[in-house]
Amino acid sequence: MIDIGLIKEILKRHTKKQLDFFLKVGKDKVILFAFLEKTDSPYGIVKFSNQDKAKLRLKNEYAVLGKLKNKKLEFNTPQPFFLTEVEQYTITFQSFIKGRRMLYYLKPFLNVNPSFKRIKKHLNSAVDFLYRVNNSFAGSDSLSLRHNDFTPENIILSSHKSTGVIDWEYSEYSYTILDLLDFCLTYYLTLKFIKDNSSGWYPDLSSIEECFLKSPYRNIFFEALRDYMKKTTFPESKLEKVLEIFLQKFNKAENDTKSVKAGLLANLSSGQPK
Amino acid sequence: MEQVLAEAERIGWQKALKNNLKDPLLIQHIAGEQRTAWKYFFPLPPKKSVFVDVGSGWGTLSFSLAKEGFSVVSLDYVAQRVKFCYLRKKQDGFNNVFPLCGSGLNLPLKDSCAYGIILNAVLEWAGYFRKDFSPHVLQKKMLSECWRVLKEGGRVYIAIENRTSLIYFLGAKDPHSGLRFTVVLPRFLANIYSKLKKGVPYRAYIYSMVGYRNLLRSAGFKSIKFYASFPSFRNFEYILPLKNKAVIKFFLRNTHKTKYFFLLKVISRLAGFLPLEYIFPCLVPDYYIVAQK
Repeated sequence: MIDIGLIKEILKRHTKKQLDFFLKVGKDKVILFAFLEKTDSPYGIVKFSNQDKAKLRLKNEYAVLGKLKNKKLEFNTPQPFFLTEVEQYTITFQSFIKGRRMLYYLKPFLNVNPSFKRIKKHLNSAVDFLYRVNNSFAGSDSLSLRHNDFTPENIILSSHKSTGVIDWEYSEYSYTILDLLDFCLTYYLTLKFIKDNSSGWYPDLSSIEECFLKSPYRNIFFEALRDYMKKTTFPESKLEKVLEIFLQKFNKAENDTKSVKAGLLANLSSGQPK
Repeated sequence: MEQVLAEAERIGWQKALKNNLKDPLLIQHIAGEQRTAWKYFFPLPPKKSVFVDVGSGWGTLSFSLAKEGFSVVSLDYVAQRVKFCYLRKKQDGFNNVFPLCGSGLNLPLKDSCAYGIILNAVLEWAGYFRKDFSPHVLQKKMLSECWRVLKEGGRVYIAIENRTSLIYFLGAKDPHSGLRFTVVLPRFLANIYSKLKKGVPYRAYIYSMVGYRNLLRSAGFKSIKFYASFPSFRNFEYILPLKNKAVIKFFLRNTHKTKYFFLLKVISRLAGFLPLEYIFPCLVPDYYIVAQK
């Protein structure tokens, strides 16, 4: 059993200082924001879980953060401090990135033109970030590191500049362009959820269709995606495979994806947006 | 409940819940672990110590603590719920859970036998167990009983609403009486209002931070610590210590969700230049209180 006393003891060995916490409960893990005395932002974040899947994710995140640290990229990612196992729990401790989540800066459906400008700015940040990740981890066959949870909630901005990306638990070796597709989709859905004053997203095939083929932002999204493909010289021949992976992730009901895929392909292939 | 019990005996408690409770969130609430995550945030006694879960209901907290190796007395006033816990214990093979039927006003346990007592949404209902004393006296008696049963250094863990919460001033319904403003009205007025509206006296007393501190002190407890849970202690996502102003300020400035987005954004902006962290502890919806014998 781990409790706050044990965690304080473990962290004291690392920081040599007394810490105070607040707790956030995730679906299958617990997050503690650790504050040093008399500081107004957390020193680090403790994540722990006793669920097998979450434990694997925590280990994966710890390993990826170590790799990112070694690459010395020009953006902030949390520094991995330590990973330890206590009884059936896996505990990780990582640094906290100062700044505000991109979510805070969203301005949905209020004034269309300034929103568009802001969306373009956010998309450019995302493209820039993913381009650097892609280049740093590029392997064979256009594969690279994929964050796999690349949403406005996990991007930390400071004065509207992309300063950091957190929550690398789901990251894997795959196509980085999938992160940009994820980002466009979740960005659109976040705007929608804010407008509807609702919470929690369950993207499915119809959300993809709505976001990429019907939303007023579709052209901006495709522009960003084509820009990214150009920058990274992503081969068009891989597009179909990438879209299949993307659609499969959100197609829980196993519907026919042909028409959505064709729509996406038509817009992503070199040529004018449809 | 009878239907759930009958099916639980036949096909297992989890399937019985799925068959009879339509709301998947309620099933998650009963069988899930999310609601019990407070156990990581508060100081706990050593393994195998005895916990008493007063008003254990469906046994969510009892079984979560039992999983961690504590011996748990799962006490409830309603016999059917005790039976449900008994079935859950039997079917899941827990040897360290002891379901008992009884009330928190008269704990069927000897003096100084437990290291921890949980009163999760229980203390406010003390007034309904007996009509011959005021709710305040009965609540004090319940806490005195906890004090008696706790070992020296043992802790009581209370989850309860805050009387001075902003939501009640804004017209949110009292979760106990189902009426608006009964919480913030003087007790005698709330009583008259409740009798007029519902035909029953108002006996589910909740208090402010000062009120809880006085109540616990009068029962003999010391080292009383307050925490806030959000959105509520029933389905919390955050727990934060109310004595640390820096933590509160950070929380106010950095909690953003798609739900209540604009309200949270306004709070976040205001917290940048107004000392909201000083009034915040008085206005939160609920408290977790940890007090030591």
